[in-house]
Amino acid sequence: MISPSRIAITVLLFALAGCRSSQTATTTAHSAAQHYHLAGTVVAVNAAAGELTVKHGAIPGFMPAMTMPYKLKDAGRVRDLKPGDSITAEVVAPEASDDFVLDQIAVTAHGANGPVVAARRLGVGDAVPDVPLVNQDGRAVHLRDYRGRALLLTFIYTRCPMPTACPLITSRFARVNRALLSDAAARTGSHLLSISLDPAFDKPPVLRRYGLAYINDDPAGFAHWEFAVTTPEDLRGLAQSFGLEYSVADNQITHTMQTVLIAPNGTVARSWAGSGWSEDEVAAAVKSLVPRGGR
Amino acid sequence: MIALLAAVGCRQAPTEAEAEGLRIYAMQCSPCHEATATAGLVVAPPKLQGLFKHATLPDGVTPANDAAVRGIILDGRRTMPPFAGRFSEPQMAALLAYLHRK
Repeated sequence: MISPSRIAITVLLFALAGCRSSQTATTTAHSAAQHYHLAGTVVAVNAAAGELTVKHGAIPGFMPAMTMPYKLKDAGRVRDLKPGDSITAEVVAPEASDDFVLDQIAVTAHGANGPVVAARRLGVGDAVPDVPLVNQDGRAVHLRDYRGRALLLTFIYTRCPMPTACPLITSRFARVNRALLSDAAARTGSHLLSISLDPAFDKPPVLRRYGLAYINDDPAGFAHWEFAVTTPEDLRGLAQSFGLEYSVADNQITHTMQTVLIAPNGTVARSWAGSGWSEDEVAAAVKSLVPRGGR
Repeated sequence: MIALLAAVGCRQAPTEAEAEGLRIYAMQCSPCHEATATAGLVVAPPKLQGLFKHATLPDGVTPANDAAVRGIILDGRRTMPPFAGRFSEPQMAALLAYLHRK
């Protein structure tokens, strides 16, 4: 998820270095890997990738406080770490390279709380539980209200700064939305719903402003694509139902991505993980479930 | 990369604030404002090269000054998310210093 910024850092540092080299010894030349001290909290552990997502304070001279994933110098160390653990570590940053790794990890306090994980995930054909939501206009809606239509549902949060995550998912939804609106039966027989992962911030006016940017600023567009929020408790249950994992730290939410197609009878028809799905494929899948002839 | 080198050229070495601003920019701003990874976005984030060297911001309307840019960073605009709470005041100052250099 962070590779674009890593590349950008490398490129930009090169650019600066190019400028510096023509000056007369303005700063010390760094010949080897830099080491920075990090103190923070483990947000998520990805054992398969040997990766740790850490929420940490500012690292003077290196980066501001933030939550981001790191590779470990010794990948095996992930087994000793759990979400919620407080750690200190060295960030090893080779010069002109994007390969930051964490080394010398020490657990200073063990955390009690794990991340939100799927407890009971729905399969294809399972009925989706009814969940109360509030949409971008502050109107109460329920998931069952969409019965009779093919419902394409996904999870985003408006403050998401990763162009490969929520902004991309919402952009993809905008294109699927356009494809469905251009089909007379799909216009009335399908619906899109983007549910916020950030109930604390994504109040209806925030969702409305966010959504308008993706529907050509025409509020009439909310008739086919709504942006909604629910309580943290109901969000947790809904996320579990769809195998979505997320973890909240400060203003950042680390999350996986799931897009779910719910059939007109209220059961799970299909789901797509991540953001790599094809807009054409998803639009076609929605259209295939649109009730024909009866409307 | 070549374009960036050419743009940065061999002007004055960056000040400490500009260098700190670059680090913040690289982590927080460049993923959208520089990267090619934004290809799938319906609204292309504007490039920020020479941001303060024009009378108006890329929207063609807002005057290009610190107050306006600071406001957009903190509150977001259109498809750009708000970054309030993600910068300390010295970090914001450093970021603006870097953006002035761009």
